[in-house]
Amino acid sequence: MTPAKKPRQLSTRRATAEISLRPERELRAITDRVLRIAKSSGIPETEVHVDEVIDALTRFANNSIHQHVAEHGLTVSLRVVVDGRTARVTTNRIEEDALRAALESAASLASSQPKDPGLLPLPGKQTYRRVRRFIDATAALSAESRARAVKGTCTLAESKGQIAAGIFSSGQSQSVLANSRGLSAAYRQTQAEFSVTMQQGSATSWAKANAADFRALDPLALAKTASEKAARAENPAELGPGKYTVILEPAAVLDLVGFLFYDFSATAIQDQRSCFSGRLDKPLLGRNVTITDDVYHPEQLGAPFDGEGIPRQRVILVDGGVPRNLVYSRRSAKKSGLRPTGHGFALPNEYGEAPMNLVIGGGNSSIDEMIAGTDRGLLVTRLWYIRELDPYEKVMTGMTRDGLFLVEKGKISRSVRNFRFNQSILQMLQNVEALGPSRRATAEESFEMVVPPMKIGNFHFSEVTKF
Amino acid sequence: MIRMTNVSLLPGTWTPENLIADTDEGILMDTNRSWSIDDRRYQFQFSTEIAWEIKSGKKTRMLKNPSYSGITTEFWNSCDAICNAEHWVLWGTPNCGKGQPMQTMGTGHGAAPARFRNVKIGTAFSNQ
Repeated sequence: MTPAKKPRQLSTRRATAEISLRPERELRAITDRVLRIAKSSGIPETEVHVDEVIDALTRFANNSIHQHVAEHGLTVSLRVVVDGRTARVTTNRIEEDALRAALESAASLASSQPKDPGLLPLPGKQTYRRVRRFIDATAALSAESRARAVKGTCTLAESKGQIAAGIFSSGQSQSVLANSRGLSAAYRQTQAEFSVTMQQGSATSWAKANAADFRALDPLALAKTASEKAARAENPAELGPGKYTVILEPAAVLDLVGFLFYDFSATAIQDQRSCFSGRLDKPLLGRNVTITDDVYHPEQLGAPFDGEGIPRQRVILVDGGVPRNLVYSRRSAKKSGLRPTGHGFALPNEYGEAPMNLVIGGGNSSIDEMIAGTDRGLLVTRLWYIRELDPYEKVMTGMTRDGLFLVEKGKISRSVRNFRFNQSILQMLQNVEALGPSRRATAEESFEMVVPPMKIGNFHFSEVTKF
Repeated sequence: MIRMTNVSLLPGTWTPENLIADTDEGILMDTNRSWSIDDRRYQFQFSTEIAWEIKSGKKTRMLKNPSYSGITTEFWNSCDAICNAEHWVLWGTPNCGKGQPMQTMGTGHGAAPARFRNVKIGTAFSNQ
């Protein structure tokens, strides 16, 4: 509702990270050690992931900070392939004896598995496109810096007679993946996230953002957005259920579209449990809907390789409303006679693969323009408790929350009580009347995506709640 | 985080057979399929895997895509019969998560078949 303003710079001059990631060479030394022990133990094929994570979080409620938490962990997850059987063991101990014991456990577990005729030999060396997602300033963000940003939010809330709650988190992580056929991959990233709920009387609103570089976040601007909407959300009117034109903010779009995540999996198509089964290469969604998986998009995060170390490709999943392509692990690609797209999960797993970096093509309509062009409709801040009712028609249920506003004659007229929706995502994406610019958005029920706000006709609200 | 991990419905005195025989017109629903409730726990909607119509105290035809919905307090105020301890089951120990970052806890909730009057049904699939 409020246009994005230039991010306020948080100072890092006095901020010092209490802890930092190990040099990559130390993680590589662990993978080398595992592969050496495996070779000397006569294990034919071994894959090893070493993951290190540092996360810190400042939590606030009732206009004050009540918790700082931080954690630092390192795990070694190794998989062996022995005679067409595979098994994985994960440990957080890195001593020689512990790694040897983990390998022995994995070999023992593999030997007790049934032979898997679809299991492939480990992949060999790969070449990766470089992505830069480790931002020193984010890694150095201290609890004191996060607290200063939270103070600004709480001061704003107090000045408005409101109550603020939320989190400000920051973290850094790295992964090294290697296998006994010479594959070697490494990746590191930082991440920061600010989420705020503002309460005025019995009304609440919310705003949230997430990025590799914390300087791309503007906590005070997010707090102002949530504050203004909370003030506007008081004393909601009750409307009857029915079909409404809705303007979905990006968080609402991503939480719904995120449920298509597994449907783009080639394994799901092969198993005939995808909503795209029998619908590929046919018009299914609106011509203005294009969905891509693109780990290389500048606003995306994540490693440029998958769970087996295969380089991720950019894949156009839906092109002008037509589902065109799927994502493939090595296994599903072999079954279909195609090349893997680099979207497989670490083996063994029951899902196969999925796109992790969805980008939905946007348009030129701002939310304000969508409102101005709407005679009667509803502006939806976000959704909640979304669950699937029909997996093939992709009918979902859930609630609106944190600010539902009636739009009349091109203006927001008032707040209204929250609705339950029962709505097919496929039908919804046939009824997209306008798209705004795509941007990285985050919510609570799906992973982050680059999505536009959408104006959608005939969105089905079935029941209303008490607030 | 405070979490009510072990809330159970105490058993009543009915048997399922007597409960069906005592019901003129109703729907018997079984096995949860989907669940969703608003963030203040008022408006809920559940769908179940299977249901049968009850007519004149007898379980009759099977029904497709059953669901029920309502407002929590109104729903529980409409409960007029609960089956006895023989039919009470402590349902599993799945988990439930809340918070930022997510905190999960093991949960277990016990219940016996129960009857609720004047419950709204069928809205989950009413748009198809």
